Amino acid sequence: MDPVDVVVVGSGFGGAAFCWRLANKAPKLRIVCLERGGWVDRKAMPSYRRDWQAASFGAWATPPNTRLKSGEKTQTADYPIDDTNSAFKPLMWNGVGGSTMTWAAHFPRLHPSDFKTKSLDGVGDDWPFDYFDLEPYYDENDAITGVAGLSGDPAYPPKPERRMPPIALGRLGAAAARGFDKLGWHWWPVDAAVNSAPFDGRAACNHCGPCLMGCPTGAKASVDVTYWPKAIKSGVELRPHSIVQQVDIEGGRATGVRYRDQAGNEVVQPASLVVVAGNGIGTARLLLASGLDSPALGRNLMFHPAAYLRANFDEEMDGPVGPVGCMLYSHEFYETDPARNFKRGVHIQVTRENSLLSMATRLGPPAWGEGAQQFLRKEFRHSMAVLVLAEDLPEAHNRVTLTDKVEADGLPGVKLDYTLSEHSRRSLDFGLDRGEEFLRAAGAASVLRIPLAPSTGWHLLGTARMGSDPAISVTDKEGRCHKVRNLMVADGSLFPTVGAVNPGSTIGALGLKLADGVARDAA
Amino acid sequence: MSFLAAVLDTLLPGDRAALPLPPGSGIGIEASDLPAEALAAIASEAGSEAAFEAASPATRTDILRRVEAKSPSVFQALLTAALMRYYQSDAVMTAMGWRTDPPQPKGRPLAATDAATWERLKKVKSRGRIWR
Repeated sequence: MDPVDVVVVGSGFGGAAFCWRLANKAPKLRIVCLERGGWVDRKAMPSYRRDWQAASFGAWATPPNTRLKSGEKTQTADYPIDDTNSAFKPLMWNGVGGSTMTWAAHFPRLHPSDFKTKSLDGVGDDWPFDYFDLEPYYDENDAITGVAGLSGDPAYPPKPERRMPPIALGRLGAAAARGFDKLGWHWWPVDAAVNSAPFDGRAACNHCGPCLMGCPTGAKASVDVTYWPKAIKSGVELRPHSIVQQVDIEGGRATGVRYRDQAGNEVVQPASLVVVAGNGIGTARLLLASGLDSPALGRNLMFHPAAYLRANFDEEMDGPVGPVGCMLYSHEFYETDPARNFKRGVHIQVTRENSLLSMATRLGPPAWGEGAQQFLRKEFRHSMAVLVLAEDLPEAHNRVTLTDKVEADGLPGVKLDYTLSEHSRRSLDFGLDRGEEFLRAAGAASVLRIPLAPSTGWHLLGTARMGSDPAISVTDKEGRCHKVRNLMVADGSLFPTVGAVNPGSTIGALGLKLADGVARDAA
Repeated sequence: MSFLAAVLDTLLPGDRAALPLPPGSGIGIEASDLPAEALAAIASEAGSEAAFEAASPATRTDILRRVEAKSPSVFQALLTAALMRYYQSDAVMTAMGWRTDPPQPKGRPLAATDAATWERLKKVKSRGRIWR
């Protein structure tokens, strides 16, 4: 292959934002993005089928391990992940657009305090820059993505007027607002990366429900319909079905990558700059397999520890309609309070109902028989779920490592070791208590606590963290590896800490910021 | 009642509500839809298929509980297969008060945010900055 200026590995949020920005800031650079999976076929998405509910247990399951085990033909290029020693099970989409294809599109920013946990609260680490350094990139990322929301939230510094009004709150939102109002707690409609009105050539959401199985209308802002068409128009070459096997490193410099194309041929792609954006597991796996020498690589794996509550109401709610994760949230307890037995805080999010089949499969015990069916009778169209997210703090023993096995994709196998800390447990218990208090105030007739939600491992963060000390960080604040300066990371692996909110917005903003750094160097 | 119907109706007995949930045997689930290993385990636990058929509802429930305890993954595969067929059937969706057509292309109605909710939000905004 002819040499290129920049090769990017991975087409998810970080890679997409990086490519688009760099192509526009440094148009003379030749940029290639290698993506292990393909473009999704929207016409084949389950929401058009009568058996759509079952798809979430097979080819459209959110865990790659479930998709692989289903034996069904999938639209992803998955690899198995040994998660037997991890409290949370990893979720991801391995195809063009990365995990934005099946994300909930809840689009919060980190708080300013999230960037300074060490100096403010004595835990975690400070980021090498602060919220206000990233703020213009958050704004730019919002503008490209399209955000439905409402400005004026007192939990955040002022943000630009949201491009679209919030997604309708429905009956569920009215009941939730009533509960928060009764307690005098903060609540606000979420920033949603979902069109509440037509935007950027994409339709408005018609509230069909199963966002996590892909959005067939494009109302949900996955980066295959936001950044990628613009990046390709700006000259970026995206090569799907290209599984990178190794970053070639010689004499402290990256010389390019080797990848397996769709036909199974090995291709060498020389490049002046290699950028890896394969999420906190995929990036660590590739860099470990490439022999990058960094003691912090793969360590400090963070999710967002999650628990939830399910409540039944006598009144009728909306049922399984609308974007499931995009309704409203409370940050009443997001910031540190010295009176609590933990530092930092919790995110409390009210979510919409899942499909009837999903609700039936999580009943119990018992999950069958008359009692289960009658419980579902009371729950369906009458329930409210509250998700509690805690801030995961970096711990070196929580990590991604390679196994001795070579997987079918040609790369070494990958294993997670992750233990829920006592600190996280205290945070979740506090959040569950507050969540139950809220649900009772909202009028719940019954509340069920789920102390831990293992199948929530969307947020794969921290395994190639930024910092100034090569002993405890992998890259500098520009995302460049300490020991291989023309090798960068551009995804959530970079996060030194993770706050207690979804990371997509920050990953996109970070991708834009890192691209500006490269463009400056190239000028 | 056949062995298959006895198993399905123990898992999913249905009800007699105004819009009644049909029993598991009432929506056309075939033996081939379910894992044979699980059905064999139930027959074995009961002594035979005929013994399970002849048992009282309470005894059938006990038998399934024992199979669930002894072979949880086998039982779970049976339950998942049955639930998938049952809760995607038109008869059950209708009985649960829901629509039978897929989510697209029509989408679903969602009530607009009401005036009282917007009023409540004004109070939140008036609190002023809570971030640090």
